[in-house]
Amino acid sequence: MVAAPTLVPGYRRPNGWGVRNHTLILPTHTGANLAAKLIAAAAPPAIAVAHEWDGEPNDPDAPRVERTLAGFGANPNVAAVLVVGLFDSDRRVAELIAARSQRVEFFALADYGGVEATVRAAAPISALLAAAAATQSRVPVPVSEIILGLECGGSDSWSGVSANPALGVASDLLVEAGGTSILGETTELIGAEHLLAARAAEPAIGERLIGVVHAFETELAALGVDIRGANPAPGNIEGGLTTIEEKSLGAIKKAGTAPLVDVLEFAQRPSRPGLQYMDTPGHDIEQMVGMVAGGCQLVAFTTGRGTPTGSPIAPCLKIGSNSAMASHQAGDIDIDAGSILDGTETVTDVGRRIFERLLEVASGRPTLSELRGQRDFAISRTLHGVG
Amino acid sequence: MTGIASSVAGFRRPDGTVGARNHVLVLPSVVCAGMAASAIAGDDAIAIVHQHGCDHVGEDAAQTSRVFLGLAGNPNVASTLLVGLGCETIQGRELYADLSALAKGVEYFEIQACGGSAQTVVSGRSGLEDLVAGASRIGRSPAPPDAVVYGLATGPRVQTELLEALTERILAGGASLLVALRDLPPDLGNRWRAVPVVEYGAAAPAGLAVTFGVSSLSEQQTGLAASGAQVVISLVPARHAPTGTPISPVLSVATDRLTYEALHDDFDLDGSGADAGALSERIVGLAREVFNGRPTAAERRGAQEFALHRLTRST
Repeated sequence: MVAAPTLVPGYRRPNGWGVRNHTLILPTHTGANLAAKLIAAAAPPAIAVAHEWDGEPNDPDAPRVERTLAGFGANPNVAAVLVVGLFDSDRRVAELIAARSQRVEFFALADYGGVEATVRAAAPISALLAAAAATQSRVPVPVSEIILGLECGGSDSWSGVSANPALGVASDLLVEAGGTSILGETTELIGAEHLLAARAAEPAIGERLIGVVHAFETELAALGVDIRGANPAPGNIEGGLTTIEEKSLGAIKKAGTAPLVDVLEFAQRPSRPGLQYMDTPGHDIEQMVGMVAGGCQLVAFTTGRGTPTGSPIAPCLKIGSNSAMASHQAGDIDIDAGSILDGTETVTDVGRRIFERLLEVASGRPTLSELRGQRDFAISRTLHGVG
Repeated sequence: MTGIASSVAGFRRPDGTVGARNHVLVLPSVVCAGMAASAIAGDDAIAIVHQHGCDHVGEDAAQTSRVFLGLAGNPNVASTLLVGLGCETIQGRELYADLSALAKGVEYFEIQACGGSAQTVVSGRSGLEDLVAGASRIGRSPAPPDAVVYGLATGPRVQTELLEALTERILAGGASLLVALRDLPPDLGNRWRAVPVVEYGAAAPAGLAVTFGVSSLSEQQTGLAASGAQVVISLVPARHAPTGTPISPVLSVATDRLTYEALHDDFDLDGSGADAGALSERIVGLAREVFNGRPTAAERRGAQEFALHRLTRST
C-alpha cells in the first residue's frame, strides 16, 4: 500500500481547517426557523437549519443548547454564520461564535417588526457572506487537523463484525497520522465501558469515562427507566441484536485500538489530538450535531439496517455492514463492508478503503448524503428540572 | 350573539368532524425520514420535519405517538402520507396501522423497504398525487357551532381576566375550548378546579377542558393541534414571538405593548391594555372568520413551526 498522504486540500479558517465552505443561517429559537429558511432561500447556496428549541434564558437546558448552536456555527466547515434570533438578548449565541474567531452576523426579528422585514434586511448580508466564502480556495491542510466523528445507527448483528471494526481501523490510521477521532453514544457504551476505560492514556481519564456511563444509568433509573429494556431498538432486534451489552460491544469497535486521550462534554471541542469520548445520547442526529458542534469536519456512520443520515455542514460517509442492505440502498450507502463477511476483503482492507475515501471526501468528493441534500438537525436536551 | 353569527363553514370529514383547513399531511415517523418527507411534500402538501421518533423511553414514546396520530387525526387534515424508516423506536408501520383506523386517506412508504431515500421520494411523490387529488374534491359546507374546537395557548403565564372572558364567550357560542396552561393560576375561579384535564396531545372532549404542564408557547400550540383544535388562539406573553403550527391556523394576540411593537407584522391583534370583555369579543369574532378561511398572519408568512413537548431526554 502507498503511504497515506499527509496533506489534503482544505480551507484555512481563523478557527481551524475546514473541508467544506458553507454559509450557515442559524436560528436561535423555533420562532426564528422561518426567517432563517427564507434568508437562505434568498441567498443561495447558504444553508439554513431548523430546530425545536423554544426555551427561555432561565431554562436549565439553555447553556447546553447555546453551546451546541455556537459550536455548530463555529465549525471550520462554515465560512461565515448569520444568526437569527427573536430578541436582542439572543445575540449571546452570535457572541459565543465570534469568541471562537468565526465570522458572524446577527439579526433579531424584534429589531425589524417581524419575519418579513428581517428577511429583507438579512438576505443581502447573507449574500455578501456567501460571496466572500466563494472567494476562498483550498490550500494544503495537514491530515492531523482532521477531527472525525464515529457513529453507528440502525445497527444489526453484522455491524460489530464488519463495518464497525473496519471503521476502527480507519480511526486508528487517522490517529496515527496525528488526527482526532471522537466516539460518542453513552447509551451504547453501557456494558462495554470497562473495555474502553482500560485503554485510557491516564487512569483519571478512564475513571471519568466510567463516571459518565454510571451517571447516565443513574439518571435514567431515577426517571424509572431501565435502559436495558428500551435498547436495542426494534430495528436492532430485527437485525439480530439481542441485548444492549451485545450492541455496545459492537459499537465500541468503531474506536479501533488507539488509547483514549480525553472525555468530552456534549458539544465540547477537543483540546488535544487522538481518540476522544464525547458524552452524547445514542439518538443519531442529536449525537451528530454534538460532534459537529465539537469541531468534527467529517462523520463516518456505519449502519446495518440502512439509515440515510447526513449533516447540514459536515460530510457524512455511510458504511454498510452487509452487502444485501448496501445494494438494496445503493443511493444511501457509500461503502459496503459486507465484503468482509463473504471473505473477499479483510477488516484491514476495508478500513484502509474507508480511510482513503475519508481523505477524498475531505478533499472535496461529495458523499451520497450530501448529493441528496440530507441535512438532519436536532437539539439535544437533558430536560433536567424542566416541567 | 345570534345562532347565525355562530355558524361556520368547513371541510366535512367521514367521521363527522369538520376542518377549518383542508391539508394533506406528509408525516415522518422519525427524524431520519424528515428529509424524504420534505422532498415528497414539495409545495403540494405540508411536511412536518421533526427531531423525534427514535430513542424515546417510557411514557415519552407513548406521548410522541399520540401527538403524531392526533395531528393526522385533526379535522384540518384531509389525508396523510406517512414516511417510516424501518428500524425506528416509534415504528412507522404501527403508526400506519393506527392511522388506517381513522377513516381518512392514508398512504405509507418505508425507506428501508423502498430501497432507500431516493426511491422513497419517487414512490411517495406518486402516492401523494392521489391524496392531493382526493382532498381537492372536498369543499366547505355549513356546520353547526359545536363542530368547532378552539385551542387556547397561553405560554408560561396567563392574564386570568382575559382567560375567563374568552372562555365564557367561546362556550356561549356553542364551540368547545381546550386551554393549555403551565399550571392553574391561584386567582382563577373555583369552577376551573372541576374542568376535565386532557393529556398533552390527547383528544379534546366537548365543552371546556384544560391541559397542564407545558410552558413553551410553540409546544402548547403543537399539542393543541394534536388534540384536535381546528383553530388555535395564542395569547402571546411579553418577550415571546408569535409562531404557527403546521396544520392549525394560529391567531396570535399580543398581550404586551412592547412585544407587539417589536414584532407587529407577525401578530393578528394587539390586545395589550384592552378591556378583557371587548378584546374577547374581537378575538372570538376573528377566530370564527379564521375558521371559515381567513388566513392568519402566521399562515400569510408561511409559519408552520412544530415543537414537541418531551417528557424525558433522548437516550
